[in-house]
Amino acid sequence: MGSEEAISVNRAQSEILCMEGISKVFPGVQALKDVTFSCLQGESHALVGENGAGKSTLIKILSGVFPPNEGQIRIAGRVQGFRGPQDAQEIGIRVVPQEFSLVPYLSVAENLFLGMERLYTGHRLWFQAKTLYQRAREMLEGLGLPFNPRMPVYRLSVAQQKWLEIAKALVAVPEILVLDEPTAPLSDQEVEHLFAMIKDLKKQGTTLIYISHRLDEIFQIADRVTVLKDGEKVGTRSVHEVTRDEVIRMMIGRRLGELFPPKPEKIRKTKALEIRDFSAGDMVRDVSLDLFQGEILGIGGLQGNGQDELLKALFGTIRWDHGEVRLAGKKIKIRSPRHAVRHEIALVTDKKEVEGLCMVLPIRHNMSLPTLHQRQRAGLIQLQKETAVLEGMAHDLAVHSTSLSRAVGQLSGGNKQKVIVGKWLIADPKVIMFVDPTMGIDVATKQQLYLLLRNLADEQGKGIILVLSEMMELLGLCDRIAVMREGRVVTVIEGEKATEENIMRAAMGLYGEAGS
Amino acid sequence: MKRLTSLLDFSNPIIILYLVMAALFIVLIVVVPTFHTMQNFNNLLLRNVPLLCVCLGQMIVLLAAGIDLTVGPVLALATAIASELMGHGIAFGIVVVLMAGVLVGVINGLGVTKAKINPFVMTMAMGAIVSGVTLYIRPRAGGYIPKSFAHTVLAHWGQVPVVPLVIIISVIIAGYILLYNTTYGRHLYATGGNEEAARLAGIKTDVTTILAYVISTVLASVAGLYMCARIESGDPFIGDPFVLDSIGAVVIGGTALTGGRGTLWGTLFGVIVFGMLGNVFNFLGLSINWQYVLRGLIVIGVVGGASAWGKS
Repeated sequence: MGSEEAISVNRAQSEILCMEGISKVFPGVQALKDVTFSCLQGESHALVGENGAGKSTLIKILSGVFPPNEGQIRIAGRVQGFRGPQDAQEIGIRVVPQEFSLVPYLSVAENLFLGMERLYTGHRLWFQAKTLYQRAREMLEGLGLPFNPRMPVYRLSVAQQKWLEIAKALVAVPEILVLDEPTAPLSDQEVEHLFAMIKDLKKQGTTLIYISHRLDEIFQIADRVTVLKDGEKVGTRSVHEVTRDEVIRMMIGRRLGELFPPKPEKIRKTKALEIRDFSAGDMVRDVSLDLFQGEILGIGGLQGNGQDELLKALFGTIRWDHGEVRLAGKKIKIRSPRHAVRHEIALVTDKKEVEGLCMVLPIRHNMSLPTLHQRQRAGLIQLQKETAVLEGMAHDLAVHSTSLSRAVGQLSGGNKQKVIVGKWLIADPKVIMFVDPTMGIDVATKQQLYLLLRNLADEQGKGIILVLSEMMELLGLCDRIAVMREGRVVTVIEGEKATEENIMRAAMGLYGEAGS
Repeated sequence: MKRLTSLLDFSNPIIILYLVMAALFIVLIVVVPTFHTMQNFNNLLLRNVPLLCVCLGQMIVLLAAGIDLTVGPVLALATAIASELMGHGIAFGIVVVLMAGVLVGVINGLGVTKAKINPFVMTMAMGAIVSGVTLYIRPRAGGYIPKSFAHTVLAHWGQVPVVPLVIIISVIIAGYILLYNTTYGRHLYATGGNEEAARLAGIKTDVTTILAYVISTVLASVAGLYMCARIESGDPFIGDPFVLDSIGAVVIGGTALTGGRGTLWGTLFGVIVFGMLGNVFNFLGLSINWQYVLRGLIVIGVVGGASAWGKS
């Protein structure tokens, strides 16, 4: 820790923001429960917690997107009642959201000043393009961001778009700046640049609220850290008085080892899936891999090295180029998801809302969808049989819902995931593939899922493939771990050799140490 | 039984529609002494058979996240073809009319799914083409519809109009079974609700969508056949009001333009409200102009009210 940060903490600071006793209820979920969160002027305050802990709800309340059910917000001691995001912006609260919020077909400059054209570009009535671009260029150069202000936003890279979002929040020096996972699309150098910017802003008196999953970053730039868990505040600590492990324990509420069910010793005999020299699309290259019945095979590696694409190809949404795939010894070719379903292969992707569920439809419709043909006669659905099957599955998976006719859009993240898993389990597939199945769900549900996956493998002898981006899950849950790099499986690791270091080395292309 | 109880669910925004309907009903009974006569009931039935058919089709397309602007032109085309061909044989005329309906629906569906043309644009363009063809066949109202066909369709049994009643009941029953008891119904809701999720569940979403357009245009053709029995001629302009009326009636019934959401009961009540509205204006002797204005206001009121209700 540099001495500079230490000084900024010790300096006598006034409380700029106090969110007191904040509660928020959505249909079916208590998103926040009596959370008190306060920031000192000019501090950098990290907000951490697992997905679904309530961070984004808290930020949305702070930025006026919706009001809390209970509690009040004080800015510099004054109670605020925001009627909308404009009110929050007016008193200097700016948010750089995690998701894309720019208008793709407008230029960089137009996006930068969107809604503030009049204040920054001169004339009251008409739009002075020249001034606009001039101001935008000055502003971007001042921040060290050399983009062409006339470029339409859709042509920028993801990292450039993120910078533009950050620049947009800095058009006027904000009182409070919220950065929600700003570094995800940025390179290491860019992260350094961002941190330098943050230090500058702090000197100018801006208070920062920094949301990140990367604990290293938090220890690098935050003064204090507040941990949320399941909608409640666990605590606030100065980063000088807390260790990484403590923060993690606060986030998950228990030690890591207790999260995962034990892996039984097993002899693998029967191959569920054999993949040989398999290439598909642009991202999957000459993959050879075996999946045994009754095992959980993890696929790791740095994100975007073909892991998701491998599963999608096996599910028939990416065209196969060459190679051979055998399912229970029989050579197969899968050209569409329909084929995959008929071959009893299931895929649960990480995009629940986009690829997994019809949000407006009830649980019944969603859960029954891939297997309707099993419960119909001449096109007519056997409703009683269906109800029995679905209720049984909902009960087995502990889906918390009053009835099957509830729209899945109203369910919590964990229950949504259970509905998706349930719809595939009803199909009783031989091979089930998942992409980050625990993304965006609470810890209790995560544990249920771990247990479920273990049971599917151990008791029912399913072959399970998991693409996981969390190292902890990869190590804790999987029997074997295949590491992918640039579309190839570079190594398969198991047993003693399955360590974070070996996986990272393989993922980064340093072979040799690991391997089997 | 569950579906019946959901009719009385006050948390459901569609309750607003029921209130509007009840209000209309009460106004009619109080203001119009002849409203609750059998004769007027029959009149209501007879008038609204085509709207019901077209609305069911429109609803099915809307459920698939599409929209069908060809329903009016197809209805008119059906009357034109029938008035041209029924002279050569009633069954022949009916078959050609239905085949034309299937053809337009298939083209709509292929345009939307395979050529990936926006449904609004695709069906608007097809509507223009169909209207042109209709005007070529029958430039102005006229032609020949056999009396025997008209009499059969409008046959009474005592005071009861049997055939229209049978059409209404069978359309409702068929619609109910299709939407709630068949795998196709499930695929339809899923495709409209989230096409990608449906495709990944192994459903032929293109086939599902194409079939929705075909059902819609076939029902519009059936409505056209019924219509030409009533007017005993073909009329190239008779379909015009059906495009917007069908969308309006279905939408006040709670069907979403974004797909995947909508109930048969809602659509049914939407049709009843629009139907009674015509009735009330007839009785009060008000001009058709104000009927249009009131329809617009009801759509805005019910949809806006439902949206506000849903939020609270």
